[in-house]
Amino acid sequence: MKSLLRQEAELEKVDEKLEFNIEEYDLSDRPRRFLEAFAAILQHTNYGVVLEQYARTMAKCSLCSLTCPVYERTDNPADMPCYRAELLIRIYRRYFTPGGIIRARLFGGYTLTDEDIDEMAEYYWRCTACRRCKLSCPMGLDVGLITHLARWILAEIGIAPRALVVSVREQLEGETRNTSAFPFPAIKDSCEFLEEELRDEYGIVAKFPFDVEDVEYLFVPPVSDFMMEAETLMGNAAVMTATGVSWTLGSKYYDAINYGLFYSDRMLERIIKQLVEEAKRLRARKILVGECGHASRAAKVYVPVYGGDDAPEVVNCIEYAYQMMLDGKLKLRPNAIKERVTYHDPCNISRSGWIVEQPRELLKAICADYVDMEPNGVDNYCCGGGGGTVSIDEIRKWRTSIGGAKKAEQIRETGAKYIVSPSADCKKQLREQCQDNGLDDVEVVGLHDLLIKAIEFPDFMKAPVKSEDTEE
Amino acid sequence: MDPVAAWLEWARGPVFRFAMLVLILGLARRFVLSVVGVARAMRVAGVPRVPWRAIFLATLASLLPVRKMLNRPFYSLASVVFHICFVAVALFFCAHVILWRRGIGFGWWSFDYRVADILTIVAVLAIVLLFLGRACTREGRRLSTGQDYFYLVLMVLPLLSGYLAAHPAVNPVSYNLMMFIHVMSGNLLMILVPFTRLSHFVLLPTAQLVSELGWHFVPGAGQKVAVALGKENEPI
Repeated sequence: MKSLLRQEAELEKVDEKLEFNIEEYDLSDRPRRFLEAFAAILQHTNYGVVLEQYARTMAKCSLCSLTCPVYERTDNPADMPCYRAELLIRIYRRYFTPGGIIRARLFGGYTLTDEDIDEMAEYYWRCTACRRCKLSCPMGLDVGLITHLARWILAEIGIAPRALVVSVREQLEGETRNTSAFPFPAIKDSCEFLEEELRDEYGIVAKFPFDVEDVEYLFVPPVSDFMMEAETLMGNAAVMTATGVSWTLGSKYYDAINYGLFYSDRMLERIIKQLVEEAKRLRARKILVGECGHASRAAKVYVPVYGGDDAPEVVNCIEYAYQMMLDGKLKLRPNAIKERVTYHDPCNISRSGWIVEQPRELLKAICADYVDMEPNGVDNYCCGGGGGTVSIDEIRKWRTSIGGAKKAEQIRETGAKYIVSPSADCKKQLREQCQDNGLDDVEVVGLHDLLIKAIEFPDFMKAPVKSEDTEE
Repeated sequence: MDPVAAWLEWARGPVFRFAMLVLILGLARRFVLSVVGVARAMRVAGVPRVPWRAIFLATLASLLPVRKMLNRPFYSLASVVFHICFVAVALFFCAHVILWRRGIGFGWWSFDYRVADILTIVAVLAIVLLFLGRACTREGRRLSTGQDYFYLVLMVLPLLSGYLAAHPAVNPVSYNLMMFIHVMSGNLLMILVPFTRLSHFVLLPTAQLVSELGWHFVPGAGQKVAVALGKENEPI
């Protein structure tokens, strides 16, 4: 009876209008162009089947709103997943179903206006695409899919966050072919520096091989890891070297990030094809994705779809490390991490149940004090920056005080020192959240950051002791 | 003859037959269209096999989704109870089974008036709870449209009128009039089912598949959309 008795004053209701940068585009005649884009998409994809189903079975029972992290904070009716889905479905009903068209002729009906498009742009980007709503819908409807579709249609008429568009432009059309515009020499330098760090800090020899052909794994991390997550990459290299498998990085393509998953299926496909191309160039049998949630999901689900019949298999680095631990090839020291550790499930790899237990088993094997947040796993709460919203710096305050407020509470409750978050986007969001919410002693790390501290390295990896240590 | 009796014969005869026809044909059409839609989607997306077992299990699970019910336990319980009672009375009440026997030649197991009384009262109470769930929660109020409340009224009419018709002691009007209301509200319900959200029960099996299939995008679709919009050469 919680919802019947909930008082207005129970939660602090905050509601700000989002404002973020989009590139300039043609402002005239937006409703017509929206409908054209919608029609083109319906014609060439399967979204029509989905909309037919959803338009007829959505019962407005509002059960989905009880699990939405955004609605929980803002209490704005438009943030309810079923309401937000209705913003798009009513357009579908009115313009694309025979019943809707006839009814509009006879009784005059709903008409798409510029204000509606603005409303959609606002509310579909408040959603973090965490898909918690689909867990609680009694009819099994995935409202996150409607958000996904609506964002694509809006992108086709030019409304998409500039941060994402600029990154994708560089990845697909730029010289450097990655979202952060790092040129390859910078990457190579960074890797060489990390190899030295591995030797100095951990006393091991682990290399970052580039362009080795005919290997088991092509490793693609999120490109930001090369510059900003040194420990994670070192951990990746350490695990791969210790388990003795053949792997490589690609000099022509080294960015797993795929913002197409957030705002445009068209870009999603092109980026996936680039990835598969690199894997085929180096004749790698599998693609190993680094610590990135959306990149893992994009690759896992869409390499088989877009990569052709002989597309390589996709493995996430956590899956790999877990399998190696089970096989005995990766030896871990128990209780190597003394401080309290908790784990944040990135929505993109946990909502489907793909990667839930593996990181927990790895962490329990190396931590003395591991606690879980509640709820977790398939039911986890979004970090607050999902669906690409983390890249939009203009809405940082919204993300850390509203979208991610529940997550901040969860972190505080665990009292953990380290929060393990194997996703580059989640890491950025969680760090900003800890800063903005006064959680100053919490450190956000990747899983491999802690793994490398606990691996029992085989002898062949131990660095020979240098007689003179002038450079160190 | 009592004029209401004539109306009642009309309601029970041609109108009922018409409503039944619309119901059965409409539902069949709805089901076939959804299956065809899913099949086409699978072919276009290149999904080779239908996961029959998974769909079957998911449909069964969605009939009583215990985990999803925990968010709003009373509302969910009211909904489940309502569904069970309504379907039970409609299909297994002895008076209805007699009608079936007369119409299609065979009947089936049925229960008598006392059981039907209990089920009807429970169903009506469940509908009242559902109505409260819609009107008294903030989310329900903001989300519900006139149509949502209308369905609740539509459901309660046959139940109430049937109960009153079977209990002349509490029936404020004549038996014939109450039966007329009962039959006509049932007819209205049957006619509306294929055209509205009420047909959800026939869409349950495909609902499970559609949500998963929706994420299996069509290869090459993006490029075709770009061509359709004349944007294939535009830079990002």
